Parts: sequence; structure tokens; C-alpha cells
Amino acid sequence: MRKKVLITGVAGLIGSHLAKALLDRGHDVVGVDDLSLGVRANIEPHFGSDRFRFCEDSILDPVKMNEACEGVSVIFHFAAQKIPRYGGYLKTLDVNVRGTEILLEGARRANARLIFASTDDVYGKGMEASFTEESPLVLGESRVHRWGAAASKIYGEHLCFAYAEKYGVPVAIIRYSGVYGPTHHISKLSGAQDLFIAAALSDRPIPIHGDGSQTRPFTYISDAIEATLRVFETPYADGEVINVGASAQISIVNLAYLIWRLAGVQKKPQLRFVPYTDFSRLYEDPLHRRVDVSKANYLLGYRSSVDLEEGMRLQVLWFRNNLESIRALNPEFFQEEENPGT
Amino acid sequence: MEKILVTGAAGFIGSNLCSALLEKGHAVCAVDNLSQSTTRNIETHFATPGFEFVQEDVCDEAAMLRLAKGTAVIVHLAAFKIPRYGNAFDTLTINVHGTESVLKAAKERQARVVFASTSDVYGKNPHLPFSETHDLYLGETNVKRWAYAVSKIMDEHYAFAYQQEYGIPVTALRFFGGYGPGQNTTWWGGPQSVFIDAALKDLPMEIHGDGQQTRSFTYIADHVDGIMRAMFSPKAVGEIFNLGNVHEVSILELALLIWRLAGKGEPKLKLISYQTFGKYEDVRNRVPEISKARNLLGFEPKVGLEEGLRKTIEWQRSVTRFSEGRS
Repeated sequence: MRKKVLITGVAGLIGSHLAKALLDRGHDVVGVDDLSLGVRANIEPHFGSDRFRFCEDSILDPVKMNEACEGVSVIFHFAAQKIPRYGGYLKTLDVNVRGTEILLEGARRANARLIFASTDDVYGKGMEASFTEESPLVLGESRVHRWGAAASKIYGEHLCFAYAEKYGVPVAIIRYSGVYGPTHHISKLSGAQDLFIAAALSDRPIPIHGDGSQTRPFTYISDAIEATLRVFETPYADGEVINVGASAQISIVNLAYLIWRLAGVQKKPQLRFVPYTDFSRLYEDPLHRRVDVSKANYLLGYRSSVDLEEGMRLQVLWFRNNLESIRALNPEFFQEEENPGT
Repeated sequence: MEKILVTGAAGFIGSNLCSALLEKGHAVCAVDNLSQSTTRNIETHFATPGFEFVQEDVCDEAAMLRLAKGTAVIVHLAAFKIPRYGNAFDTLTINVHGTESVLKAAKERQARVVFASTSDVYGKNPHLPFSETHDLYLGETNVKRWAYAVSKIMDEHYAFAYQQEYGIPVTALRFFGGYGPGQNTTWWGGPQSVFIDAALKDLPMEIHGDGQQTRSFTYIADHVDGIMRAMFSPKAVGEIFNLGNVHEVSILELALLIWRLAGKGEPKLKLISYQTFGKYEDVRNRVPEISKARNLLGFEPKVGLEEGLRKTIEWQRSVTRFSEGRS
């Protein structure tokens, strides 16, 4: 059935790919993005469709958001600020807390369902071998800014359930893990792979934070979109929290080796180790993070189909094919002595 | 002396703090929307010079900005508690909006902010006693009791973000189980309130779960002392402090102690399963480590549990009698 949906953060990685998938399935898409993190190039291909409408607005503008929500039956609330490793602490809290409140209010008024993008970052410092949706959410000290982002996402999740409880707004929460894929915008906040590829393709050492033994899951975008569509199409996903990601994980240093090889550089890998203390004394990075996705497997029938090597191969290919435009949009990632992020 | 703005001033901690501040000669602007309390606890100050009561909502940013004029310190105590019976919406939104509203006013008025967080932020952390550097263990998001801890963690982050962005000095106080004269006499006031109420009426004391969960209880005078120290100490800026008594007691022991101090005979108990609250999770053990407050603020709780409970029972007996006489 053809539906009209709203995607906030539509110019970001997941938002832009989701918009494409929904347009391909015949739905009408209203996309909101203030282009503070996302880029126009990610959604330019959709501008030709008469079923796509783009609103270049901030989710912090309640009037604009109420307008954007009019007549939609599903809201994908994906706009967010990530870990404030490079400043913008208060902005992170505002966007994630106030923004989510504004969109939930929009959902309530429009009688729409809301699908909320959360993150495996909410598991924080949890020590379990593998995080399930029932795992405790363990935050470090409140004086460490990076926990503000996780706290704001947990707050957003609670607010979703509170809107469901008080106003009957149907909500589903997806905790994404390390999603990567083709995007025109490289961010210090969107995982290590893009920085590594940019370094390898421009023959610079790959910057590694800490000793690189920390492990992370990586999920190719097409898998994340497949899972998201299943949440969208499964009515009984409402009221659920669902981990979406790959069960595979890799250490940061091995990821660097993998990318170096896939980039086809013909000399020995060059790594540059950057101590955490270089950029913020108030930073804490969890050592390992493995996410259990069996709930998505059993409840939604979701299986990831792109393995790590295949996904990274596609990502390197994407960079190679679009190198000039990516370089033009993200010049800082192709210069020497850039303060890196993983 | 300085002008102090107190939010949640008609509440238990707020009203006692107002008394202590007036005694020290401060001017007090007491704000409360009276949603959870009456003016009962502050009426005695209405005639005191330097005291002003204003019935406003802490979420009303314009009102807070106006009231904060000329204020040296805002002590922000207004909050909504664990949604045990009601919904989580008010807990989440009122606590975050209220704190934001206070921080915005403080930013404009160049005031310092000392605000109430809670021991509940430590959640299910199994490592006791809790120090301020301990991790915060929250349970599943769809268990709404965590909404309270989440709202207070958000408040802490907002406060530190305002300090970083605008340079306003903030201090977070994590209170551990306050009790004493002036406490709310319903479940809102904590287990000791309902136990005393039951004991005085010779009704069974309702214990949630098996009663083996432990807590620490802090007499109001000690909490007020801790707040006053934090309000005026330069060392408290940008810090989080546990404020509590380190004496650990199980809920069952507490109930039996109260029954004995109330001078009753054979204790009457009624165990209530958590299942009656829907999906609920209790915190098993909760004890503070207070060396930070000791070292930086000179904070030392002075009133033991038995002494504090005696005074509290006497007070609760008098107000219960009074309200019965009135009805």
C-alpha cells in the first residue's frame, strides 16, 4: 500500500538510502534535513521524483516540523547529533532531546507512527560479551561529555515509550550498529572506514586512535535498510527495541589492514597511532562492542547479506569512483596532519 | 546577604532549606507550583522578612528569568519522581524542561546553579558503595521506572553543557534517601513515610518485593547542611557530590525499626509483589561513598537512623493527628 512518510536526517547516510528504497517501492517521501551534517549530493538523485519533497529545515523548528508531519502515516526520525568528541556538547543534547520531542509531538498530531533511530552507543560501557536488547545501558560519569550523546539517545527512547503510553503513538526503536556505505559526506563521527579509505587512496598513513585493538561492528548500508524496511512493514514491531547490525566485528587495526589491501596500495601498510589524550581529556572509548541481532533475525526475519570484506570492497569502490567529488566536498580529509577520528 | 532562589521550595527538602537559609540571614525567593505539595511547610515563613513565596511552574522560562533577577544562587529542587503509579511522560519532560529553564535563567542572570540529582542514577550498578565516578547502570528502556534516572542523568549533562558553553557554575547533588519532619507522608516521600503512616494507624506496612533490598537514609538536617556547603564552596563548581548517610539498612529492617519506635506491638507486614507495578525493576542495594563531599565540602552526616526516625515519627504523629482533627 502506498504511504506518505517523513524522514528526518534525510541527507545523511541512512536517511538518504532509506529515501531511495521507499521511493523505489512507490511511497511518497517528505525529507527533512538542515544540511548541518548531511549533504545535498546524497539526495540530489531524488529531486527528479514527484513523490519526493525536500524541506531544508531544522528539526528544532516545531512549526516547520508540524507542517512536515501533516498527512504522513510514518515518521522515520533519523536526524541526530552524534558523540560530541569535537565540541558541540550542548547542541548534541538539544538536537537529540528537543528534536525527538518535537517529532513525537508531530507524530501525535498527525496520528502517525514513529520509528526512532537509536544507536548501540546506548550500551555504553556494558561488559557483556554481546549486547541484547535486554542488556543494561551503562553510562560513564556525567562529567565526561561523550556520555551525553548516549544519555540523550536513551532519553529519546524513553520519550518514545512515554508518548506510546500517554498518547498511544505507535513507536518502534532501532538501535543501529556501525552502519557504513556510500555517502558524499565524510564525517569524523561516522566510523573509521571512510577516514581510512581516504588516507589509503591518497597514500597517507592511516590514523589509529589508541592502540587499535578496540573492536567495532560494521554494518553495510543495504543490510541496515533491509532491516529498517522490515520494521516499517511489520506492524507488530511497535513497542519493540531492535538491534540492527552485523554480527561480525573487527579490530580497528585489522580494519586498517583490510582497507589498505582493498585499496590496492602496493607497499607495506602505514599506520599512525594517535593517543586519545590528543583531542580530549574528557573522552572514554569502550574497548569492545558486539551486538546480538538475533531478535531482528527471529522477529523480522532479517539476515545480513553483505559480509565485511564485500561491504568494504564496495565502499572502497565507491570512493574510487567518486573520488573527485568526495575530495571536493571533504577537503580536510585529504590533507596532511589532519586530526583524525575513529 | 545574598538572594537565593529555591525551586520546589514547598517540598520536603526545599522547605527545610528555606528555613536554614533564612536563619543564616539570606533572602529567599521560594518557587513552587504546588503540584505535589501545599504551603504547609513554608507557611511559617510567610511573615519572615526576606522571604517571598511565588507560585510558578519551574518550566515557565519567562517566570524563572524574572524571578532569578539579582539571584546569587539557584537551588533547583523541583522535580517529578519515579513513575511507579503514573506515566513516565511527566517525569521525563518536567525534569528536563525544568532544569533547562533554570539553566537559561542562570545564564542570563549570572547565577550559580546547585541542583538535585538522585542516587537512582547509579541504578543497577552492582559495585557498592557508589562513588561519583561509578558507572550508571540503567535497565531496559521499556521499564518506565528508569525514566526518572534517565531524566536526572539528562539534567546533569545539560548542566555541565551549560557550564561549558556559557560558563555558569553548576553543581549536581545526588541525594540518597532523605527523610525527616516535613516529608511527604505518601509513597512520594519514600518507604519510611508509608511505614510510619501505617504504624501510626496500626495498619500493615506494605513491603515491595522481599524487603531484603537495602538503602541508606539521610536525615533532612544533614541534607540541608550538605546543600548549604555546596552552594557557597568554590570547590563545588563543576562537581557531582553524593549526599547521604553511609549506614546501610534493608527495607524490612527499616519497617521493623519504625514499628518498634512507634511503640506498637507485634509488627504487621504485607508483602507486595513487584508484578503489581507492571514491568518494574527495583534497585537491590544502594549505599553512598561520600569521601568526595567529606574532603571537598567538609560534609559529615550527624543524625543516626534511630534518632532521626524518632523525630520524624513524632512529627508525622502530630501532623496526622492535626489532619484527622481537621477532617
